[in-house]
Amino acid sequence: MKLRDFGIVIVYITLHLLSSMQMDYLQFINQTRDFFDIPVALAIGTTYKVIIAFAFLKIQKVELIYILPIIGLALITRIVFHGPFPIGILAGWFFLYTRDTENQ
Amino acid sequence: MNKNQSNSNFKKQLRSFGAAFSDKGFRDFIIRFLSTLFLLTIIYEAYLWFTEQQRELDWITYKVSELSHALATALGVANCEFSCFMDGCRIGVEGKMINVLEGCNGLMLALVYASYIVGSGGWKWSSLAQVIIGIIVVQFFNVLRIGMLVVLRDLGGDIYFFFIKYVFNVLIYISILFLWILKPYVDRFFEKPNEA
Repeated sequence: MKLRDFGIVIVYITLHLLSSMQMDYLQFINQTRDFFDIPVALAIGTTYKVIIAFAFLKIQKVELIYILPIIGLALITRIVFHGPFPIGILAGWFFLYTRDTENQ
Repeated sequence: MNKNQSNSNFKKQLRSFGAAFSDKGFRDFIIRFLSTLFLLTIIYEAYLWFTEQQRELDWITYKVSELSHALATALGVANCEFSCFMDGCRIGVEGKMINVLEGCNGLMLALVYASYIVGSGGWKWSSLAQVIIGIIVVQFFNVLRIGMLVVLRDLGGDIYFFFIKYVFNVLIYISILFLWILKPYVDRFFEKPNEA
């Protein structure tokens, strides 16, 4: 993996976790463990995370036709299976990345 | 390229959203990834349901908590207590306890990691070996994370406590990426004896 691509991954994860930190802080000050108790923050936080993921994939030169399914995959991973959203994004991206590298 | 042209290109690409699924390799990856995640989640949920019926805490959460307690004690937390209930464990010094719930055991992260391994390579012996190694690596970082949180809570640094939680998340995510990078080499290692 190129150092540039690895650096972009680090920046993406950091930006994602910064928004998670904000959400956790909101949970803390609202004294709740359920995000649905703060629905507006949940909607804004999710939109922000999707935008960051979109920007990450776009910067990594992933075609738009793949970006939407990858974001869909990550959302399913998060909402249906309660898994981590960025790992869903990284899984989709890394699959395409290794395939393209092998083909070159 | 003017603005109208780039807009129409964007719309064209958006319309061909389904085109990603005509790419057989990508489609197979998505299907294998989601079906593996579905299957592993069902097995895990069934196990959680079973332990709940037995009115016990699941073994993974218990072991992660126990090892984190041992690490915190080894790192010098005096009078570090450890108690488990049906919904999780409590570790730390009285008044500064940390709750380790089922969601903190890191297994969902390991299942997503495993889904990628199977999604990109299919069900193979090398996939099984990588899944086992991955689960061990994820749990190693998880124990380190919870153990450090207990220590920081004891020292009283709430900001550090908040900070370290996210630093360890970055470390866990990066370690997963490294394991994915190593995948082709592990696959080659397993294929060699078969070729001979």
